[in-house]
Amino acid sequence: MARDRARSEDYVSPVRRLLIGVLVLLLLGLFLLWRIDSPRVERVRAEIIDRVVPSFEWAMAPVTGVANLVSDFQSYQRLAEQNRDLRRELQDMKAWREAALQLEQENAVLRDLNNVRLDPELTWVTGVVLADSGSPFRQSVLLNVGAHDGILDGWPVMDGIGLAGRISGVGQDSSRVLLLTDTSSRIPVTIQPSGQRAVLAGDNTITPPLDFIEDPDSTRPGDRVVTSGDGGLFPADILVGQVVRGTDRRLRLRLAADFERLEFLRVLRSQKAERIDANGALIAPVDPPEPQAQPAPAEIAGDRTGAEAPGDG
Amino acid sequence: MAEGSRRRIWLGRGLYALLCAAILFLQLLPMETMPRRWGSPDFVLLITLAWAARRPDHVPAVLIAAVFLLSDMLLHRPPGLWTALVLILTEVLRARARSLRVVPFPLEWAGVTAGIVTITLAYRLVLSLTGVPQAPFGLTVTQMMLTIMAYPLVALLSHLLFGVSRPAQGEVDSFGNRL
Repeated sequence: MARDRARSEDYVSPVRRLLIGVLVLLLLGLFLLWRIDSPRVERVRAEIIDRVVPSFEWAMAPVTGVANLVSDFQSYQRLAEQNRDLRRELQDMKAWREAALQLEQENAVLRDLNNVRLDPELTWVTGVVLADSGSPFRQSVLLNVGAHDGILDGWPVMDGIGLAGRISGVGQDSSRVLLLTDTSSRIPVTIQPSGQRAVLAGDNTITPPLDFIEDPDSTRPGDRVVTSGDGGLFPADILVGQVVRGTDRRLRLRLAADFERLEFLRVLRSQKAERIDANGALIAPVDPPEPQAQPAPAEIAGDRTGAEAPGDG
Repeated sequence: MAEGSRRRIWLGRGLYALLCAAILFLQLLPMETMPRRWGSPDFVLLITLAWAARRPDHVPAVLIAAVFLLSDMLLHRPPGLWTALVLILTEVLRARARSLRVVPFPLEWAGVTAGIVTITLAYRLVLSLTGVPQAPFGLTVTQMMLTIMAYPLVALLSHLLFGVSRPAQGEVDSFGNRL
């Protein structure tokens, strides 16, 4: 017994214990550093993921392919049933299409009359989903486009139909998409016919709840929800989903994007819209431009770029 | 004899790293983009605990720290905290490995269960103290329960497939020390 104890003390020698203590302290220090200065650590994280995950890609593609094959095979079994449903939906859609075409013409005429200028056209980069978050606590996916393709943090991500999330973390060749269902996702939205503002707050379920609705009574299940563009976060009027009443009587959102299978996602290049921050800026410029001496004809080109600079900022 | 034993230790370490990498890889496959109501068992944690309780020399602390820090980074957990908690737990198990070896399996299981519950609660406590947004509590609890329930399975599999069993009483290592 005495010998046993002596041995076990020998095994956990004080030096070893000290080293383990230092290791634990370092790890906790890393956690605190992340808590205090999270962007920096997150950049390191994006860097690590960028190094590690694409090197798995050769193995991931076939395995994912086989799994999709299996699920496709299962869906073939329901093919006849689906076909019937699709036919019926097609009938409905034809009627809607007619209505949409008429509305579009009417819209075009009205817009022409009004001379309206809408939001700048959005362009996009399409990426393939490389990996998901790997844990049930986080809802995010990794795309195979990154800083190399000009992706920036914060850009919105859609599948073909609706908003899916936004870029959070960009590596050289990969970028992470924080999905709308993640617990840390908050998106300002507008509920369509009533025009009310709300915040779509992810809570790790497939139907995220709508928070901060001004007047819940005037919101009905079935209302369309689009991004509001508040805070300059997103361009306005991207379809997000439809309002439904959850089992807990809260207003929730059925997302328009197909979260069942996110395979190809498009990252929208969201241009910075012109924004007015200062109160008086609309009425008078904050600091009037310095009166300049008449430029010599040769200097005109150089002077013009100089005069434009303050206007940009 | 000494050569063989040392080689077995290094084989064990390599196997551990390989297994953890394989599990991480499977978790990262983009199969599930739908949020789930329940969390599947944390197999990396289970393997680590089972091996720390049974063959502590196959899972050195530095290797554990490296594996968990990498999974912290890849799985978007707050980096470092979970790693530190797991490291502390494995050190506790390592120190008790010899006494855990002689008790019947249900007691070993109970010890590991207590450890998992403690670090899970500590993890959530620290996260709420530091104000980090957290996943729903139900998800954490189901994952914890499933992890605990899967422990006998993992212990059995690592015994059958990889020969990670409790050393018999009186088994010696390459230097003639008792394991």
